[in-house]
This record gives sequence, structure tokens and C-alpha cells, in this order.
Amino acid sequence: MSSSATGSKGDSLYASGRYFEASIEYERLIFSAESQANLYYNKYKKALCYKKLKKFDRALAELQPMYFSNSGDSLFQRVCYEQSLCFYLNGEPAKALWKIDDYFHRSADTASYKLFMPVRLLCLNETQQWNEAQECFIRFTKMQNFTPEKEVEMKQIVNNLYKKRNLPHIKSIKKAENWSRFLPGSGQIYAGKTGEGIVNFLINSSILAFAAQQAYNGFYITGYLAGLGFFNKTYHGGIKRAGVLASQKNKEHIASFNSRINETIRSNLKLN
Amino acid sequence: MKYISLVIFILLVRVGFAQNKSELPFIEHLINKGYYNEVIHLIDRDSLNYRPGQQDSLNYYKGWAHYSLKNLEQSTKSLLKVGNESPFYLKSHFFAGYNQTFLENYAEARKIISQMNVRDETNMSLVNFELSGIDLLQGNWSKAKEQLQLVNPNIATLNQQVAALGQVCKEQETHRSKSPLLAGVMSCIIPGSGKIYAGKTGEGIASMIATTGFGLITWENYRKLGIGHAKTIFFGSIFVANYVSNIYGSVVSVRIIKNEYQDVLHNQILFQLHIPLRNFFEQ
Repeated sequence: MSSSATGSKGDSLYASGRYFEASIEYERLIFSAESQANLYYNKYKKALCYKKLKKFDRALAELQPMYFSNSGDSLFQRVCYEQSLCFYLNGEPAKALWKIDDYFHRSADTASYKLFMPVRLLCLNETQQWNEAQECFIRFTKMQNFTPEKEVEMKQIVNNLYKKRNLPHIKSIKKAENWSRFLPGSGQIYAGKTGEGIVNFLINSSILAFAAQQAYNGFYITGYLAGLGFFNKTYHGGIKRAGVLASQKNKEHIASFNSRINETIRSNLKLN
Repeated sequence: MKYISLVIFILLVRVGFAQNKSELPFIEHLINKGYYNEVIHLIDRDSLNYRPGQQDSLNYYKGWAHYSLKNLEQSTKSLLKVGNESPFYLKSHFFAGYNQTFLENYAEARKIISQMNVRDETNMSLVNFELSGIDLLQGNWSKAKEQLQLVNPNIATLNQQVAALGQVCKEQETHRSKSPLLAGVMSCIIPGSGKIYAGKTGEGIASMIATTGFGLITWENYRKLGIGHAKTIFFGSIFVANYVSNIYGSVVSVRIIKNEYQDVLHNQILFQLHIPLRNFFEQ
């Protein structure tokens, strides 16, 4: 399928950065399309407008219903690429990986894989598949046609990036909660918030000490209701908080790791 | 020269008409696909280029797009511009009236629906049905009942909704409001019971447990340390604050329940008013 409906009003609006107006013009072409080739091409262009407008779910809605019987179609490659990118940008890295794998499975054009590699790499990092991500990165550098010296240098950079000590330290949410269950505040310290952990420990231990002191002095009702009642709230709240902190920390670590990968790609490799 | 100018003018007019002629089906297509912002953008950009006959359709589409985006004031403005020659006239004016009802501008809604140019029995019944709904929303129960009786019972599409509005009238007649004073007194005697009376059972039980707990703590400290001890005063203050706020909370609960009941009733009436409009004018 050759898609060459270029030079339309939509194209000129898109080129001038008026993506909303361009999307309307592409919809007009979709409305009047007489062939499937034109219909798909204009849907693809409309999805690009939505991507620029950061409406990734709408872009995906345009791209999803297309079916290509011929995987050699140049539009098939572009649609698959945009779908995977929009899935990634929409916070769905697993779906993006599925789309890329689907393309690799269907397309025999191995030269086109290069286009997908950066998105695949970011998605693999996002889903913490470090070995596959490292493999993907090395494969991507090999596609760049570097000189043998540069290729060795790049391989070293990639191997260094994926060394165990450089990988994001993923905190187990379950472990953080269990630590706090065992010793209030320790889950927060495990999640990287030492100050908050110490404060949590002091609050819990003070309330518990108050309850014990009251019971020891014969104030059983005060000790039980005022002491243990409040302790119950702060103890369980602390456990939940430790889990939330661990999850937040993991997101921060992965985002910072991916930004390092982005930086390496931008400074050393050609994307297209 | 005059001849050339005339030819150019005719050509321009023809091109303009040809363009506009194809624009309406496209706008309809956008409406059907739910691209409402796009419809509003297109109509606002090009509305001056349309013939007067097409303006009604454009106003209807613009009003419908605004209605779908829940911009009810703008929707009303556009829908009311649809003239009575247009096939969209009835739908536009009924929905403009509904928009105003939804916005609680009842006088305006009544004016729009009463002034509609309606001749046939079916649409007249729909007018009476919508007016009875507005009366119900304003709390004019007897007037609403009278208006509801003017609806032709042979119109099948209205029967269910007429019965539903009749039921609302009946419920309203038998409904007894709860007393905030009684709720306060009940909470004074047994903490939390006022909230249970108001209908907030869970909150009432929670208040009862908390107030009793603070009461017991205060009593224990009073018994062992005496009234003047700082600990007794501290827990006693918490108990008193809890006890008083619980009484106040019970009074407020009755008001909240009353408002919630009225909101449910209000939404139920609006829902019943909306159903026949969708059934009558289904796209």
C-alpha cells in the first residue's frame, strides 16, 4: 500500500503547528476517503496531531482499529511505531512492548527494527527487565554502523550502565510494609526516608509507653482506650505509609535511570 | 469589465455554496463520532459563509455539541436560534427548556417550553409533561398533579414517566421530615442516638463508642486522681468537646439527610424529564 496523500490542507496546518485544526482536516479526508489506503493514511496523520496535543489515548483510538494484511506496507511500520510510542507515553509500557514484539514477529524488514529500539529500551527499563534492556541497547548500538573502536566504547558504556551497582535499587513494597509491621518506622527507613522513620518510631513508642505506664499505675481504661486505641491507628497508618514511600521511591529511581539512558542515546547514537 | 466581474462573482458564489453544501454532512459526521469541540470550532470559524436556510441546522448542531459537552448556557443560546421552519425546531426548543430546567432557571425554562409553536397532541402532551416536572422541582405539588393530568394517557412513550412523576408526588405527600431538635435531644441523652435517628447508623455507633470511651477514661481519672488533677481536666475536656460536638453533629445530620433526600428527588425528576426527550427525538 503506498500512502501519498501529501500536500493537503491538514499537512500545511500540521506543519505550522496548528494540530487541532489539522486533526479536523484529516477527519474531513477520513470522512470522504474512498480507499482503505487513504483512510488509514489520514487516520495515521490524525493520530500524529493528537500525539502532538498530548492526547495519547485519542491517538491510540485512531491507530488501534487499523488492520494490515501486508506487513511490508511502509504505513504498517509507522502505525506500529506510533502505537508503541503512544502506549509508552500513556504510561502503558507492557502494551508498548507487546506492540513492538508483534511488529518484530510480523515484519521481515529487520532494518526497520532500529526505529523501535529506543522505545523498546525505555519500556524494558520501565518494567525492570534489566537483562533484556541491556541486550536491546547493545543490539541497538550494533545497528548504528559504528567503527569497531566506537562499537567497543559503546558496549563498555552500556555494560557500565547496567552494572548491578548502577541499576535502580528497587525497593520491595511488601518488605517495606513487613519491616514497619515488625518495628514501626523501619519500613520508612528502608524506603529511604530516615527522618520520617525516626519520627514514626518515636510517636509509636511514646504512645505504647504511655499505654504501658497507665496500665502499670492501675489506669487500665485510660491505658487501653487512650494508649492502645491511638497506637492501633499510628501503627497501621505507618505500615501503609511505608508501602507508599517504597512505591514512590521506585518510580523516582526508574525515572532517573531512564533519563540517564535517554542522555546516552541522545549524545552517542543516531535515532533514525 | 463588468461582464468579467459578474462572472467572477458568480464563480465565487458557486464555489462558496458548493463548499457549504458539503460542510453540513461533515458536521453531522463529527457529531455522530462525538467530536463536539471540532464541531464548535468549525461552525464558529465558518458560520458567516452559510445561507440563512442552513443557519438553523448549524445552530442546532452547535447547540447539540455544547449540550453534549455540558455547556448548557451556550447550548441554550444556540438551540433557541433554531427557527420553527427547521426540522430540528422541536428538539432544539425542548432541549433548550431542559437545559434551563437543569440549571434551575425554572422561569426561563417554563417560558421556553410554554412559548413553543406546538400544534399536535403528542408534542402538546410532552409540553405538559415537562411543565409538570418544572412544577415538581419548584415544589408546586398540586399544580404539578393538575399539569400531569393534561398529558394524554394514550401516548405510550410517556406512560412510564408520567407514572414515575405521579409516584414522586405521592412519596412527597407521605414523606415526613425528621426533627433536628429531637435529634439533638436524643444525642444529649444517649450520645450517637440522634445520628442513628437521622439515618446515619454507622456514624451514630462510632460516635457512641468514642464518647463512651472518653467518658470512661475521664471517670477513671476522676475516681483515682480527683476533679482538680491535670489529667482529669485534660481527658474531661476531650470528653466534653466530643459530647457537645456529637449533639451539634446530630442536628447537622438531620439537615444533611434532608438535603440528600431533596437532591435524590431532584435528580429523579430531572432523569424522568430527560427520558421522553431522548425517546421522542432519538437521533
